[in-house]
Amino acid sequence: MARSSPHLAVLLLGFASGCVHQGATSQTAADNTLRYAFSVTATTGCTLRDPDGTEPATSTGPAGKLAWSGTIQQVPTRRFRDGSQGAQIRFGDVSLSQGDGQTVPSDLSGLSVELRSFGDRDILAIDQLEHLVGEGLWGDQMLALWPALSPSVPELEPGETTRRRSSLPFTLDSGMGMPIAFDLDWSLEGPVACGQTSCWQLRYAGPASGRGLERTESWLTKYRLSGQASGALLLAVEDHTIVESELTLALELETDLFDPATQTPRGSILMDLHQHAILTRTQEAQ
Amino acid sequence: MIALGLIVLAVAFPKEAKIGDYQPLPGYLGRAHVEPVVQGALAPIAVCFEGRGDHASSLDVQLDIVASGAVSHSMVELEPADEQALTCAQHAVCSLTFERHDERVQRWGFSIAHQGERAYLMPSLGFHPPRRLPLFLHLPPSEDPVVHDWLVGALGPDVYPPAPPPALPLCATPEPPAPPPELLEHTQP
Repeated sequence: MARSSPHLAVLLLGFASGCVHQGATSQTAADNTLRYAFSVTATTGCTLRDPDGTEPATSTGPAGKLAWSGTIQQVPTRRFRDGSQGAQIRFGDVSLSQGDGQTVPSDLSGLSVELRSFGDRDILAIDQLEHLVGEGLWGDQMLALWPALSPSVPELEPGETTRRRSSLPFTLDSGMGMPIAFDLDWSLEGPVACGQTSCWQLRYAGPASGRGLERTESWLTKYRLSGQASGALLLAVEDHTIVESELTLALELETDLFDPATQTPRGSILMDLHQHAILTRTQEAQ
Repeated sequence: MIALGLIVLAVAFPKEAKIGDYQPLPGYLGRAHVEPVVQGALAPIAVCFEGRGDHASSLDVQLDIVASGAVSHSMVELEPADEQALTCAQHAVCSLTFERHDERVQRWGFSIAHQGERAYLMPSLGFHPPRRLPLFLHLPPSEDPVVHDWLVGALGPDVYPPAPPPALPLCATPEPPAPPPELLEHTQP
């Protein structure tokens, strides 16, 4: 019995997340809404390379620092024919600080995307990412948020370490962008006390990699990404929903820039991306 | 089937108005118009309502859109940024901000319904392609002229340095036009 309980817990994740919208008819969509407080910090440093691969006279590009905090609602929306589940991810009040500047309300507030995932939470697509991207929004700098919100939890038992590949398809509706893969080693502990309930505690770490491209009238870019991910997760024993999720990414991104018409190389930008995301389940409507 | 669809569209969007046009909304003593469009990637637009507060009931606002090009109606989503629609009619001037979720949509047409009667047509609006950095690149303006010039050369002057997001248009408070006689007859005791 001691061995079967956590096994069951993980197996039931699919039921808990995949079928949540098909509950009793008396339930409303609001009943299935998951609410989180979240924070994401993202720091970047970059090095410039000329088209011939050499570094220019001044090769250190501008450093960036972004920090968001706010609330998120996750509302099941629809089930797809392949069994995947759609959920609206809606940002509530979100604050943003850039550099060492003041914290100001973010234009992310009130925006939403549709997160499509399978029962084990492996992300299949994030639709309508377009409107999170751009100056002032910087949704493309929130890579750590999505795997923290929808971690692909494997089937495993206490004390066991299991490797699982999961995905973060950070692509726009045009198909352009970069799918990112994580090969994570997971371990399970618990149950542990978390607030007034009990939780399964999971930890994971492993490499991340990705390749992609993007083309507009102004640029053609090719992306290569590598690095490490590590995180921890608390899942409620009762219903296997996320109580707390934390993810750290340490990534290196190489962006090769080309003229979109002639494909002539314009140079490369190497970026160090460090991101940290924390989500905490909240009970009250925000 | 095609003919039926065209009839439905013709009823919902009987004609295309010009930006800034005011048209009466039966049952609602007031006017509505669209502020000048903010250009940019998925830029929000403000739909402004100017009312007299004569109605205690809320202004039930629904927006339908006609998208030009190959994008179908169902692929486009509008959502109000907040719940102002519920109290909009109780303010002299109020606005709703809507997001454009699909950059392939270049033009919009709006209609507004009040108490179930869809009678108001909003203008079609145009958008321009987005201006932004490539994905994943967070490059604040550099104070180093060498770095600045390198980034301008690699990314293009129309991309770097990044421009601040366009300001959300604020709804002006134009002089309230006189309501048409038929509206006065409808609302006055």
